[in-house]
Amino acid sequence: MLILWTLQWGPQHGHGIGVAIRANSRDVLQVEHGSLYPALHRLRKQGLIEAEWKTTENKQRARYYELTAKGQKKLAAEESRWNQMVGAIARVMRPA
Amino acid sequence: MNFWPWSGRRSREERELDEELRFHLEQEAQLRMERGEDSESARRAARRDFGNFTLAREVTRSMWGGSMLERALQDVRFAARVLRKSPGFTAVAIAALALGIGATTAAFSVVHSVLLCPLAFPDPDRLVMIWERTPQGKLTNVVQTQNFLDWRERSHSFEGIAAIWPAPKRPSSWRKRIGRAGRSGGGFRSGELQMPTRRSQQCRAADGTQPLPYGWKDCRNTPT
Repeated sequence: MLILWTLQWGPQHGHGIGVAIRANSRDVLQVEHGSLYPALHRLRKQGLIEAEWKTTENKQRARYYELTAKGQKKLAAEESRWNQMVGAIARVMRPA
Repeated sequence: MNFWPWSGRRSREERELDEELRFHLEQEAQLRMERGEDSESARRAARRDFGNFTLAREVTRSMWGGSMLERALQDVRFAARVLRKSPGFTAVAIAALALGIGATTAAFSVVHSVLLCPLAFPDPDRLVMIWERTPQGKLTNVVQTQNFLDWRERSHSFEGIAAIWPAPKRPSSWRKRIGRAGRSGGGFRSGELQMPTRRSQQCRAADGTQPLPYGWKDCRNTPT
């Protein structure tokens, strides 16, 4: 879900996704970058993201990943499920 | 294994994955150097952050799936390599398999001919064997020809009685009377009953015309 979330602002390569997750979580989520790639390739096989080789600003070849329409739908579903879960946990922890 | 149609695609994917992962490490090292680390420690830190490089590659590759056939071929190749590496184990395994299969086949051959294969006569369940005992009651006695003829003439319990000389390896030969219990009349006439012999190599039905589909050794009416 974090990968899909990161990709909603535009195509990004694997390293960029890792950096973004780390930065946006204020370094709390130290995802081992190695585990990012299996996830990326799985998402690609599921058709949630697309991959394309592009050149970076530094003229290097890199594989960029991009959300597909299916991926966007999936992201929306995951997000609402996540909100439900957070709400439920919050209600359990702090009963009104 | 370049003659498989998918191997070209697969090896391209592998190259691309390697390139992707290398790019990642370079980017990470670059990022750290920009923050002021020296290049050596930046590269080390990039590796450390990445985790297990080989494992990541393996797991990613497994995400591609691959056809059943491809994985089966991998298994076969792996098995062949392992077997080639330890010829002693291979020999023992093959010997054990051969013995097991051979023993099973032999046991089944016996069961097949003794228990499963029907006798070479019509209504084999009505077939009986009669014989004489020696006065001590232990051994099967040789039957006098005249006795046999008398039995055939005077007995009313059988449709017919025939004698057999079945054992070429025993010159003194047993005689056995074969007949059918039950109602008299019809069916086979004794004397026309052809017993299978080892020489004839073929079972024949009681009317002597119809060879059975089984080989001679499939019939248990050769006494042993």
